[in-house]
Amino acid sequence: MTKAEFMHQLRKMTSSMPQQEADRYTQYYSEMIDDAVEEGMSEQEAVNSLGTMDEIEAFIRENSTMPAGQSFPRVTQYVPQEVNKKRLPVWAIVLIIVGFPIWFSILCVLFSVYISGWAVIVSLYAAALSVGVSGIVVGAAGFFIGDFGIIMMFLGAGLVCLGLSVLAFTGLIQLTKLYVKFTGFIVKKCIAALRGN
Amino acid sequence: MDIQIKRGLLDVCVLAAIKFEDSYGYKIIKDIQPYLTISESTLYPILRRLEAADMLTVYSVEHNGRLRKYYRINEKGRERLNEFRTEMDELEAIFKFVTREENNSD
Repeated sequence: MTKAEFMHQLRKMTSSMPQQEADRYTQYYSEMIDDAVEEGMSEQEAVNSLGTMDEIEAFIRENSTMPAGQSFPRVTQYVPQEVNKKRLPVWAIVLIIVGFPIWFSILCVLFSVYISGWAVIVSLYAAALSVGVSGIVVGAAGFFIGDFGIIMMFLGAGLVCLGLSVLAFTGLIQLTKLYVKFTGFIVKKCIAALRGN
Repeated sequence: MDIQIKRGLLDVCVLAAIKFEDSYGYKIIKDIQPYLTISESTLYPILRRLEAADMLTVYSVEHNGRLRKYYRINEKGRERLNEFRTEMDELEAIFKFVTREENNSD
C-alpha cells in the first residue's frame, strides 16, 4: 500500500470524528510514515510497519473512549491485615501439609534438646550423690586404718565431700524447679497455639 | 506484562523520552522500543492523554518542507516522573511481600 492509499483509507475511517480530531490523526500517521522513510525505509515498508488497517481502526475505536489524563494506577502502601484467627486459610493448610517433613523434624530436634536438658539435670544429681557417698565412704575408711591422725584427716575430707554434696543438692533442687516451670510454660503455649491463639 | 501496568509504564516512558530534550513521535518510539513494545498506534493516544493532562505541550516545527510535531515535557510531567520514583519504592515493598518465603516469616 502506498502512503496516498493509506491516507485515503485513514480519512474514510476517521470521517465520523470531529474535523479537528480527524485531522490530528491523519497528520500523526502522515508524519510517522515520512519519518520512517527519512530513516531509510521504503514507503511500502513504512506503511506496513504501522500495522493493518483493521488494527488501526480497532485502536482508534478503542482509544476514542479513553478518559483523558489517565495515568499509572496508584500503588497504595502495604498495610498488614489482621489475619482471621479462627480459621486457617487454604494456603496455610497446604503449607502445613507440604512443609510437614521440615516442621516435624524441627519439632523432633527441639523435643530431644528438651529431653537432654533432663538428662543433664539427672546426671548432676548423680554426680552430687556420688560426691556425698564417697565422702561417707572416705570418712568411714579412716577408722579401718586406725591411726588417730589419719582418722581425723579422712573424717575431715569425708565431711567436706558431704557438705559439697548437700550444697549441690540444694542448688539442683532449684534448677529442677525452674525446668519444671519452663515445661509448664511450653505446654501452656502449645495448647494455646493448638486452640488457635 | 499486565496490560494496566504496561499502560501506566508507557505513559512514564514517553515522559522519560522527552525529559532531556523535546522529541517527535518517530524518535520517541525508537527510544522506548528497547524497553517496552510500543507501536505508532499505541503512542498516539498516550500523547493525547498526556497532553490533555497538561503533562506535555505539542508544537509544530517545519522539517524538510513538512510539519513535524514536537513534544515538550511540562512541570506536571516532571512531577509525574518524580512520583514514579516513589511508586517504585512502594512497588518494591509489594514485590518483597508477594515473593516472601514461608520459612523466613516463621
